[in-house]
Amino acid sequence: MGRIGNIVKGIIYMGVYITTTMVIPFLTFTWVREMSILGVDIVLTQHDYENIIFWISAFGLLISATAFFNYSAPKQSIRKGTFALIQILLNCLYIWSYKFSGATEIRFEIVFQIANIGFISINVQNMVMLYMGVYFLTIVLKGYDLFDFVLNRKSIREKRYKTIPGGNDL
Amino acid sequence: MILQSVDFIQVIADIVAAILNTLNLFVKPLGLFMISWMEYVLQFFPRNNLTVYIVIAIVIVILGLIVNIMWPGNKNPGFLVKAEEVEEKIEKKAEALDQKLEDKAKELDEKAEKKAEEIEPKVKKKIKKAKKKAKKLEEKAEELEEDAEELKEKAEELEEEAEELEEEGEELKEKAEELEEEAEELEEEAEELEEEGEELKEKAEELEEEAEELEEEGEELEENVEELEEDIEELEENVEELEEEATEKAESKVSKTEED
Repeated sequence: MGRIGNIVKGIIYMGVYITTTMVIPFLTFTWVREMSILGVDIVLTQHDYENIIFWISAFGLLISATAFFNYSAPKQSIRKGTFALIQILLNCLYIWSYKFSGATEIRFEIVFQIANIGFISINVQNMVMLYMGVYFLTIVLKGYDLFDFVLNRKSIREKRYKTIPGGNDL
Repeated sequence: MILQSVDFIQVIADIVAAILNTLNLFVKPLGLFMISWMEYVLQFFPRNNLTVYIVIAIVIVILGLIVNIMWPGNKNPGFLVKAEEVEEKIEKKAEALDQKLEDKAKELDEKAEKKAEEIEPKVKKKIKKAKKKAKKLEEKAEELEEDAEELKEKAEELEEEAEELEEEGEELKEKAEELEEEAEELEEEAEELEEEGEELKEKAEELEEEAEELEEEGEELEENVEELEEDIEELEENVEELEEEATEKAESKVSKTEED
């Protein structure tokens, strides 16, 4: 794939990340705030809402930009490895921003109208903690990838350019 | 229907809770570690200023674009380009060398043909001589073959004799082994006898010592007997003297009485 192909690929992935890290959370929190009007017990003040939206936008922008760099870089290149690692670290901070922005303090309780059935409660704080552990393993994996790309740079490039004439940069 | 759907949701919730609890043991400590460094790093992130993040994001995207335009990743790296150039040079040199070699080979073929024509009569003479020599050698070889057969026969005879000797040797070995076993038995018996002899010697020595002690005691007894005999003799002499004195006294008494 040539330079245009790479850039197109980067833009597509940037769009995906903008959607998943910014648009969807933004819509979700807006919807959650409006849900209180429908009688669902959700504690979300105006300050909390603004705080959450700020951090979502901040980290969402950084993640989407690094995603562009990451996915537009050739396969097994050092720049791809570096930005993949940076992206994972930013993802961790993004997830954690939910915690310190106060988003995880929100209790999601949906009470059914029919009596004696029960309610659903989601412990977001615990879920964030669990996510952090999983992200640690992902960071280790990405770090290893980068290490591998740096160490075996010559052999990777030889393979890429010798086996397929014209290069295989995807 | 509603109650059934609630049960189904409960089952799913239980399964998810079980999975999360299992993962919790392994992943939660890692999560705590992550939180420690993230809390430190987040101090340096500006708050309530989104423009900084927007600028950073734009810079990253522009950098990505520039890098992709400059190095799209479909050009051969420098070291491979050099290698290809070297390969081409080597191929050209190899072709030139091949041509030179072919020319030289042709020249050598021509020279060889000329020399072969010159050498042919000499070679024919030499071949005739060689044939004669070969015949002689064949005759000699036949003689040698005959000698070899005789030697083979002799060798076979020797082998048979050797086998017989081996058999005899084995018999002798067996006998020797039997004799050795007997000798060992005899040795064991001799050792037993020696032990018995030593015991008897010890007993004899003990008996000798006892005999010496008895002799000494006998000598002492003899000496005592002699002393007793001497005492008896002295006593007998004394008795005799006393008897004489008694007789004398009796006689004197008798004479006194007679005088009276």
